[in-house]
Amino acid sequence: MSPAFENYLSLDFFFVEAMKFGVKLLDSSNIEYFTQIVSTVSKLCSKTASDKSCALKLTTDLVYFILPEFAANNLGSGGSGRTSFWMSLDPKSLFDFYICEGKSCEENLIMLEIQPDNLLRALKSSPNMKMVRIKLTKRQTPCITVEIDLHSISSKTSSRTITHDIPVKVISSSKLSSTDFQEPNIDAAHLSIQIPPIKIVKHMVERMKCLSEFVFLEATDQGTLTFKIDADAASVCTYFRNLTNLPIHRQNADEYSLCTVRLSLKRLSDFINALQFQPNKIICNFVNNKYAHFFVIHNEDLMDTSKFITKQLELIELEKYAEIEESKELLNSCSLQRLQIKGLCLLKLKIDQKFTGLYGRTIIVFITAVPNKTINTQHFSSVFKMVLKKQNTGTLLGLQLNKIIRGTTK
Amino acid sequence: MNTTLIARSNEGDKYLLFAKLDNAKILYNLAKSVNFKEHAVFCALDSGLKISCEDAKSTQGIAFVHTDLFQEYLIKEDCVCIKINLSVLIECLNIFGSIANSIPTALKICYQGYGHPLTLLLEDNGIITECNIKTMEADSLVNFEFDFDKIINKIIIKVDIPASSDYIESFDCKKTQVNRYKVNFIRNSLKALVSSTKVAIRITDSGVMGIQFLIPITELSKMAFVEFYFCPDEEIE
Repeated sequence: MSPAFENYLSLDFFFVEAMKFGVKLLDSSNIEYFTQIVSTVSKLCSKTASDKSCALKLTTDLVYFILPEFAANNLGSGGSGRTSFWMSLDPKSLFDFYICEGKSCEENLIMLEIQPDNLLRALKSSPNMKMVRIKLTKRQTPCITVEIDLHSISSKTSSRTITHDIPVKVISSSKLSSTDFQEPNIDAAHLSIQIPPIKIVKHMVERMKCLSEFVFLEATDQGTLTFKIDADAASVCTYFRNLTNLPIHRQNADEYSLCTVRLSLKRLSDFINALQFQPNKIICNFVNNKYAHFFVIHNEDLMDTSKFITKQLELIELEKYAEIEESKELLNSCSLQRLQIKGLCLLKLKIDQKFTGLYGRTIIVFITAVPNKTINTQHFSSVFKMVLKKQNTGTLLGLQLNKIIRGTTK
Repeated sequence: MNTTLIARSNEGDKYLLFAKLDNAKILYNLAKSVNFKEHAVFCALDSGLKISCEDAKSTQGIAFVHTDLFQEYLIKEDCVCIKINLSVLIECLNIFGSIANSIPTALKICYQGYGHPLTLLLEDNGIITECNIKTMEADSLVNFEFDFDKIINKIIIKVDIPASSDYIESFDCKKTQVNRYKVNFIRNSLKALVSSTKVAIRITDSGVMGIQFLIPITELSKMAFVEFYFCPDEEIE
């Protein structure tokens, strides 16, 4: 029996019959994507888990691959750090069919101990897969059964099916305390920063690994991140600037403007090399002198559309404000000729027509006073607030029009 | 504007050696071609930068980077010589790797003097890396007395062979010589051979063989040299 999850395993296989878990993958791109995910989990486990196994947690909403800290092995005799991971997937975006029922309505979750390596081997066993079904079955022991339908070689024969049974162990939910297998607490972070493109970091970490065993990561709230090694032959320090700091949520606001952690370069490189997909972004949360928490976000575009739209609206609003500010700045600092070039003002206008519009408003139509000149539309491309200056009481002498040709005054 | 110019010219003042190279890859490739031993003697001369590796006092590999290839090159003494860990230097020069189509990594080399580390400053897209490589006292290298008047046999071979030309560009041998060289030593020069366009093989009257590789720096359309010297095996009779 595996030592890592020993305390949590259920020996009562009766439960398995009451549980139901099934997945169907029909699309080849989804199959490939799922294989990448399993491959990442497998690589992470092979390097960091003490017995190459991790927990697979299934709920109705999400699928998790978890390696809790107690199951991660120490590196070397000095115990120079452990890596644990926690990965969540949205089954709706990944699988074409997904069902998960726990043994009862109250405990609607399934926890399994699995060797992801075996699952990966099953998924990679054949090149032209038509469909993949994964389900929880009971053989002599509980198993995850992977059924792969292959494209038939000739059109006449029906498709062939390959079945892999992967033995798993059931983790009893009754033995779980509320803190085990929970999402890592990001709230403990002192500082949060988005790390530079993974390609650069990956290469750099590999080079540093050749020189030293440990790296000091130093982040500030000014968007800088430093990788520092201090080896016998040389000390190397790489400075990244203009990175994005992310807000942290802390009640007892211990202000940290600078955070340092020392990481094993072997661990860090194992982690980076395990990522089998191109992450959208990686956020690093620092708990000063304790650990670094890497938050890898992949396939953010699969986020639901309403969130995306809200975000975009927010950004458009921000852009609008920025533009208004910029125009204000220009109006205050530039000459009128300069403003005209920038499309913020129109010089030498004269009144062409004047008539009464709706609700008794006076409508004035301006044309350019310069003979043989037409005003291009780019000179007043966006409608802007009109500013009227009354120099003498009642008479309009100076008219400052911003980007509008037909002004309405009352 | 003026202040930056003055600042730039003053920048190297406190250093014994100060050099700027727009493309760190040039030095990286040349240093790699002589990296058959972990430690090397790093020598800054008036004419350029010399990285020499020596094995068993009987073979030497020398990579020479002419001052022409540097954007700035200042030395305060005739010869600034230190021993460094060449493998570490190579790892440092390659810290950003080479991403195709990107702006090359810029390099600044500074050395303050005896007891100070050799400082490399690398910059790539706004990311800065500072490397302080520990320095040691330079070993004295073997002088192979490779004087031009002692050269008896000289062959120049084109490595990059166009279809119409002959392999050998010049063949100037005065007498027949038979010497034995350790193939392991000659193998050290293979890395340089791969990137070279011309090879000159010269043998002196005492049997010391010098192989000179002409390495094109395509980025600057200039040339760099890598040289290897080999002592012949003594005939035991």
